Amino acid sequence: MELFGDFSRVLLSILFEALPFVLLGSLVSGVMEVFLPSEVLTRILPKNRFLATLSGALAGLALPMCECGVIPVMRRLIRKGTPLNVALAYMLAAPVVNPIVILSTMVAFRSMRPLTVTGLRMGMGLVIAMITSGVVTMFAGTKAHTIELKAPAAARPSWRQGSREALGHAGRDFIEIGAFLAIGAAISAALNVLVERKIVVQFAGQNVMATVTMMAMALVLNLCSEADAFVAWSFRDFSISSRLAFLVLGPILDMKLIAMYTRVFRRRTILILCACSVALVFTATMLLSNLWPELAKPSPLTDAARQAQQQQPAQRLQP
Amino acid sequence: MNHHTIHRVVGAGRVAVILVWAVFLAFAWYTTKYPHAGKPGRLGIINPSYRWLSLASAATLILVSAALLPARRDEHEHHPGGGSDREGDHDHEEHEAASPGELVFQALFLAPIVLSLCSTGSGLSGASLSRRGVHEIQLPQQTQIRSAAPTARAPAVLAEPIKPAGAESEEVQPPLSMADLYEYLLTGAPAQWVGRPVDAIGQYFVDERCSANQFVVTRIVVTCCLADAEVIGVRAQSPELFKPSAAVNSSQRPQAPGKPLARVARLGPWIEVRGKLQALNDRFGNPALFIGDATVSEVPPPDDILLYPRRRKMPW
Repeated sequence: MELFGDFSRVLLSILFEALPFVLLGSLVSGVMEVFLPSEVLTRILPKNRFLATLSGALAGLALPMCECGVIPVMRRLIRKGTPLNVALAYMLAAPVVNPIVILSTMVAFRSMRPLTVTGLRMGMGLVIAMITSGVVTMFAGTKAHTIELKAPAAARPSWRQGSREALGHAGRDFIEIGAFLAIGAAISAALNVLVERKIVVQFAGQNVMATVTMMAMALVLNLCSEADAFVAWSFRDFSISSRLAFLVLGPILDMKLIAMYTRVFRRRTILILCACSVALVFTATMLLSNLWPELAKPSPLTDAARQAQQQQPAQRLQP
Repeated sequence: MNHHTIHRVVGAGRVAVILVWAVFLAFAWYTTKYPHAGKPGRLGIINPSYRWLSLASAATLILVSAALLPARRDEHEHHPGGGSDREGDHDHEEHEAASPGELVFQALFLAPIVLSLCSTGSGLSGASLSRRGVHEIQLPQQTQIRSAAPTARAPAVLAEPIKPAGAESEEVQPPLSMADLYEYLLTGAPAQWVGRPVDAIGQYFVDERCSANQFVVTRIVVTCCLADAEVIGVRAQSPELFKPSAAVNSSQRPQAPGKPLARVARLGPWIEVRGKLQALNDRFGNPALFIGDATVSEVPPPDDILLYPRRRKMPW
């Protein structure tokens, strides 16, 4: 019963944290649907494919969204005729490359190379989002998503009618995405309550295992990109590079996001997206560890604690 | 059921789901802000700094639900045939979107609310907290070790207290709370820790590193929501043996180094600990950050048992 109570409270807390952003995303999506003509998007995007993808990846700076809120917006962008690579780059990069996340990462790591960690997080997030969007577009092509493209509207609605329509679209998006958020949040809440973090800590000493473990934690914990830096910081036994893997992968891929992706992409696309982003985050982290070995060292602060842990069996708490 | 009935049922369901979530979010905001019977609200599971988001979302959802019904009614009353191109397009989309399958989504979306109504209690249970482990506020690396001759019962003082820059005397330094200690942990100002007075309120806990007169003061920290909850702890050592009134099995405290502990330990009663931060030895002779010369007294639990980190000034 205790675990059930914990599960339901963690589930609810994840939803309380995520739903305002899903709602915001749905509202932006609704406004875009009604008031943003399709031709405007195609006109403002650079013709060059690389530049178009880059502009999509950087759009989060102007239109900041966390990973839950970005999905309805991205869905609407595709519906309005935005090229898939651009919309994908926005969806994958915006939860990392946005002012709120930049600030929260700097604050969380303020005692531990704040500029380096934040810069690397942004850089890795941007590059991985661009490469992943390119790979998905290349392999999944026009059958990547399940969204029907919308024909350009013949007439602009009045402000009043348009607002009502925008809110209507927002409501429908909110329920649809929210239902899948609830499924993903339920999986993540169960894992959040059940995963023994003391077991996780024993992998901290070895670089490859530490990276893999932190990536698995990103998948399991399902944290919002605006708060995950504080949790990453709390994994003090792990190296900075492995924590970066957690910070970069989390906003791209976790249980609730996979559930939400099913409302936009076909199964094959989701598989390519998952495989590509995991491989890229791992490769980038390993590359970083080799180029900058200092970032791959486990935190020396916990040596005493680790020594004590080795001497004694793990202990558990009860209130 | 004909197509029109399905359309109406699904439409009504949308409005109902949105309204239920609006009410629930508003209730969550209310219970977080206004404790019930002197205790924090049952749904106080997010950092209060973000509770305005719940209220704003509730208000917006009411607006969204209000916009859904009249829009559809007007549309059917005034433009039964579709009207202009745009309205026809919208009408088509409405009918296309309304399928019986959407009722399943709506039920799924409401399921977490139903679940939460079936569960009791607040915060996280000991079992979940134990899986997270205690994050100890640790000894800064820069602390200078003077000697190392520890004993299990009376650990040696290993470091000289270091006065913070600009402090004229120890009396002018305000005592650090658990929130301060967590902040210091975040900001990493190690040299300034040792020697600072502490007045910490938290839950009593003993682990395998505690000798007879040592214990750990713990608090549960929530940065954003309960999903990121972690237990932080700072070690303390009192000159006299402190015996908590209840809830801690004292036999869990190891009697000799190397003796295995009971598998399950407990977070004990709420205590207030006053003392000074010092670098001392734990039971195994490992240096650690302690609240030294601690005076301990049991206190009632605070209004909100969770600790929410404060956002102080930026590092630049």
